[in-house]
Amino acid sequence: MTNPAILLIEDNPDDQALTLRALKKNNILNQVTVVGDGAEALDYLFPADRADPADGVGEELPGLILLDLKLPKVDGLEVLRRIRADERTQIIPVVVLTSSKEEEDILRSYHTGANGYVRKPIDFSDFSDAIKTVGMFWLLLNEAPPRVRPSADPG
Amino acid sequence: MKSREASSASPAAAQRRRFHRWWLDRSVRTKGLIVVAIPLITLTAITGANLALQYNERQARSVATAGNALAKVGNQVLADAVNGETGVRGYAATRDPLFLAPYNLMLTRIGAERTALRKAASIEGDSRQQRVVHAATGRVLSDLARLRSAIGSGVPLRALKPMLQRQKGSMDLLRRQVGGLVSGPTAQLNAQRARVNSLEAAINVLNVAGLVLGLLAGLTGIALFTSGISRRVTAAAANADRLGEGRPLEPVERSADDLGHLADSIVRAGALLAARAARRDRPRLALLAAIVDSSDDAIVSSGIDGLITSWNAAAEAIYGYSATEAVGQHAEFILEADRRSDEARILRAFVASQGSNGSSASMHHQTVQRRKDGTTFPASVMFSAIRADDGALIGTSSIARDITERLRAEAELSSRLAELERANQYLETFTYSVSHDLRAPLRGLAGFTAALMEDCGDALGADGRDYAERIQAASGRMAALIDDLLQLSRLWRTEVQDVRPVDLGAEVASIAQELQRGAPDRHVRFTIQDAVWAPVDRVLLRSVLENLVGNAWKFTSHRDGALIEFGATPTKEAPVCCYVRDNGAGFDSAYAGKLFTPFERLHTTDEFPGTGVGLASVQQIVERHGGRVWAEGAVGKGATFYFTLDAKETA
Repeated sequence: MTNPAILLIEDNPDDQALTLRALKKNNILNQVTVVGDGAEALDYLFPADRADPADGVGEELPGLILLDLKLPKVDGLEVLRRIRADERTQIIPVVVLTSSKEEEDILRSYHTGANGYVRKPIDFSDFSDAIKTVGMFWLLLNEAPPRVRPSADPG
Repeated sequence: MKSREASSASPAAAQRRRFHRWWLDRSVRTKGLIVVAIPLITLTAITGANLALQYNERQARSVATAGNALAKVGNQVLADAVNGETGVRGYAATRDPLFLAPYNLMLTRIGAERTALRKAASIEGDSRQQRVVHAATGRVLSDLARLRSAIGSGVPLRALKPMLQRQKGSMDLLRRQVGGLVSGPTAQLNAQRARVNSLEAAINVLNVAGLVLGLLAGLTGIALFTSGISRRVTAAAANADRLGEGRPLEPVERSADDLGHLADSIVRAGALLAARAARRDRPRLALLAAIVDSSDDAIVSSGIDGLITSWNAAAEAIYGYSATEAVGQHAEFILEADRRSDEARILRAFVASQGSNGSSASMHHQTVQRRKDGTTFPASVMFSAIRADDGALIGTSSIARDITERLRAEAELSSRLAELERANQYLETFTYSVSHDLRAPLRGLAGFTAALMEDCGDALGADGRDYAERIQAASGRMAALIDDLLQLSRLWRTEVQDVRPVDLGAEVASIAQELQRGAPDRHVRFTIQDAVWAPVDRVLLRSVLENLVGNAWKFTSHRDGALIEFGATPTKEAPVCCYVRDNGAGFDSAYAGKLFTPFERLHTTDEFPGTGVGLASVQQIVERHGGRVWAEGAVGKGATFYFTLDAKETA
């Protein structure tokens, strides 16, 4: 059984690097795809809607999406709304990973269909623990929905 | 008024009026007597007349009876005289004394009969005829007596002849006289009968007339009583009612009787009351006049016809017209020409809405008015109804104010509000940005410093690692500062909501448990009063208690036998006054005022960590609950934080 892929949607290169470092440090060795803004994320997830549909066709859908809220072009909530609106992606677990602790952001995320909401801690060891816990739970402990499992999907 | 016209028209009417006047001036007792006396007098007069007539009738009847009796006695005298004559003639012819029996019988009766005749004559009153009959009877008797004695003495028949002839003459005379005696009373009797009959007819007529007159008199009495007295009593009662209700009295007909006095008394009472009310109202009216005169608003009153009746000093100042110029003008002369029809419609609607039920209402509207110099200004106008004492609408008053300045202020206020709204919007965006964007670089700073230490720790050396650790610590403090700052700004923005009774003691107990769980090695004694109920926003008050109890926990960390108390004491100032007391580091009371200023700290971060935002948040929340917070303490002697809550707050 192939490990499910992780899609990290994060515009800040520092946070991208720190997240990758935290995953590596915690021995979470699943394939990680990083996209830098909301538009790119949508292109990745819905290749058929792209201007050039041939590009990237056949790529596997991720088993976990880590989503920042504040993104250039298309913001995180809109990306989440589109993920939940599409039949192919609506059951993929999405964990919001953001700096905001605003009640409004948390509520809107859950209303839009987020499976979790994690505020990125400043201290790196705290941050690392958070990434570890999220990865462990969603990639190992949690039973993923069968359809998005790459092995179960003939492509 | 009608009767006065009629009185000048005819003397009969004047007579009637005089009677009316006379009647009005009699006292009620006299009127009652008159009303009862009229039918009584009428009936008495009729009864008297009836009795007189009956007496007359009886007289007539007795005269007729006496006439009959006289005629009867006369005929008896005649019959006895004839019997006597027959007896004497038979004796004369036969010389037999046996024939003298009727004569003798006649002699025994004639005396009584002549007495009866005299008596009858005396009843009759006219006795000439009786005297004649009496005399004639006497002559017959003496002739018969002489004849008898002549026969008795044996005078021959032939010699008796002249005596017999003479006696026959006497007898014939008596017959004639008695005939007269019978026929005279008969005629008289007939006359008397006729008189009796006519009297009887008269009595009948009198009876009927009496009945009718008595009835009429009774009806007149009742009419006088009801139409006069009861009408005036009703009028007096109505006036008494009006007096009670404070409405003006109706004029009453003047009269000198008791009812007139009563009506006059009511009118006088009304006048006295009005005078008293006027005396009482005078200071009030003077006050009102002073208010109207000194008002800054134009106060204008108009009659129901729309013509201005009063114009105060402020109206002179505002419109530029003097009172003399304005009074008598139509109220709309201060309006712009193109507004007049609209205003007239509004005023008509207002007047129509007033009705006549006396309910007082006023109407407010905005319009544009014109000054004497032709300039115009926006005005706020209040119409009110002016009513007479009886509630009838007699005009309107309008209180007008130049609202140019107010409108300008309102416009400015609304633009300020919009600005404030925009500023709030900016603040919102700003804090969001702080929350989100300021933390990301910090995380980078902390994260990569950690990476540096992990990956290149050996290369850094001891000093390098110390610096790296300081960078990490600084990043952590800044992160905490940002979080507290955000919390404070959220407090500034959020409203107190969801207020319900909360047991603050239970909240403190749960906070104490959490603290103890976080640091199981520490030994702190808690004394917590339970069931301290207050109506609050639970989430916000929890934050207050977390801050205060957390501070107490923090500032007792350097000593043994730490004690933290929570309780409530009612005070005069507020129904709920809570305190959190510790026996920790305390503070210099000289700086007590600085405790609640954001980012102010009385201890170094090395002594006790903190950002200086917690107590500012506490103050913010307590003030939002209508209370205040203050602290007492001394260095090394612990601190006590008090806060009050307005228990009435039910937002």
